[in-house]
Amino acid sequence: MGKIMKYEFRSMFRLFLPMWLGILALSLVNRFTVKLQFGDEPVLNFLTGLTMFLYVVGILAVVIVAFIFVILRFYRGVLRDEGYLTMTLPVSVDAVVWGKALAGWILMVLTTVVCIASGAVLLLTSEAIEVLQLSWDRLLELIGSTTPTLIVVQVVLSALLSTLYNILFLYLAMAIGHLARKHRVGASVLAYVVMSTVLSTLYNTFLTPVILNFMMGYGFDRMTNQEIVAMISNGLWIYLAIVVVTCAVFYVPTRIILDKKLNLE
Amino acid sequence: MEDNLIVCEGLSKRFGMQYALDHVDLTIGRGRIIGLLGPNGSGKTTWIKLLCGLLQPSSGTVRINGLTPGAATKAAVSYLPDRMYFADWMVAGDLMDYFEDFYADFDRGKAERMCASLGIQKTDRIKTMSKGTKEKLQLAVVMSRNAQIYLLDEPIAGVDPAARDFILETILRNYNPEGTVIISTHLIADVEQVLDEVIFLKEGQVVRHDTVDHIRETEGRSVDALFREIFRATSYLDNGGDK
Repeated sequence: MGKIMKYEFRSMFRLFLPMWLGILALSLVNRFTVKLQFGDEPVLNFLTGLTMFLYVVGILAVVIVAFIFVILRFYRGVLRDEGYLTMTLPVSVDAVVWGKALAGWILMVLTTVVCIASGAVLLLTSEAIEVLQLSWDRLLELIGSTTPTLIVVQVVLSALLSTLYNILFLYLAMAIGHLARKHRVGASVLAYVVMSTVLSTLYNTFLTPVILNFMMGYGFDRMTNQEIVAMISNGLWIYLAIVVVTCAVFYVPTRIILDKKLNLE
Repeated sequence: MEDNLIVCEGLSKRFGMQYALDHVDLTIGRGRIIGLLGPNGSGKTTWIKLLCGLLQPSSGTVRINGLTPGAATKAAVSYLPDRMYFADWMVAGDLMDYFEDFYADFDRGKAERMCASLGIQKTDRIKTMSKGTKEKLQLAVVMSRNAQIYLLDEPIAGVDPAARDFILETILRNYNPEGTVIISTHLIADVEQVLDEVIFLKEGQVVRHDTVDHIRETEGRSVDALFREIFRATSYLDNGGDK
């Protein structure tokens, strides 16, 4: 699996390192240009606006390109001509799928980190840091010291696992589309839409009422802040468990299709 | 080590209701150069894909060194498909690294020498190479492995006679003599002189598996002539017959 990931990284860094550096450079430029006041100088004001516009477009572009990249590395690398090499390597199907999924996941995570870092470069001044520090201290004061840290960890973990969930979901849709003898891209899109609809219906039918009942049962007015936060934390554990189980549910059929039903054109 | 390199028993592959390969029984030994001969659609590519694990049989079994196709057999098979399988981001050096990382039997020095003789630099982007150069590069890396089986699917189809000579020479000079080379083609005359054995496939079935010497002795003619007879198509004549 490590070797599969190595070449995924090679292909990805060639494209994304310059993009990430570009985003960070643009945010640095903007940090200075937004502070400058040019008065009535239209050309310089236009340039300031332009650098901000480029920054926003850059952020959008890098996120969209990363998403498309994850899809194409699986579609082209496994299900199209490149699959003739990938699927005849002396490695297991698990190594191929997990190698690609984890590399794609790391790409999405790093892209998010770069976007957050660029936002920090743009916005973090000493005053802003002070405000953040004060808010955090106030939060700790209100609800005790351990739970907020735990919740931050849980939220970050949820974001990380949801990213993997989305990648495995896309892989499954493409694998199901591969079962069609013709129009496999169309079949993959159809599989994606149908599965999304079924899943959201399932969540809304079974999960949402449970959560609502669960919360209605609580008298929030009678609870302390600590108790409410502890309840949210428990909810997040349940959410994390569901994401992990669904990831496994997405993975197993993908693996079976690639192992038993692969039929490259 | 198993005596037989490849053993197929009742091997079939169906696509829908249609048999692409129909109850094939074959036993193939080591150190042979074998022609897999048959017209388009006779099941050559399907059989090769079953051997390298790109397809799963509908029924019957295929064994390589006694094992069903999987990671262990893939390490012993060097496969040249009938298309380009390069990732578009790679330069020639990446491809060498890739083969070196995944295949323990890859001889990098040999691959580099072959590329140098073809005028391919390590930093050349594969995407921008001509179709002919790409094909030669693919052949070079495939033949730089000291594999037990070389599965070459239509290596000489669609190229000019000079390139055909180059390809056959590259195969003959570089294969591991203890391994078996299987060349699928419908251009018999070009490969006949290098083959030890031939397998004739017709509509998914093996119609003959024999040594070239034996065919010449018993039939008194070339493999090419025999092929033409077995696979002669009857052309349509409007006046009610093909005579």
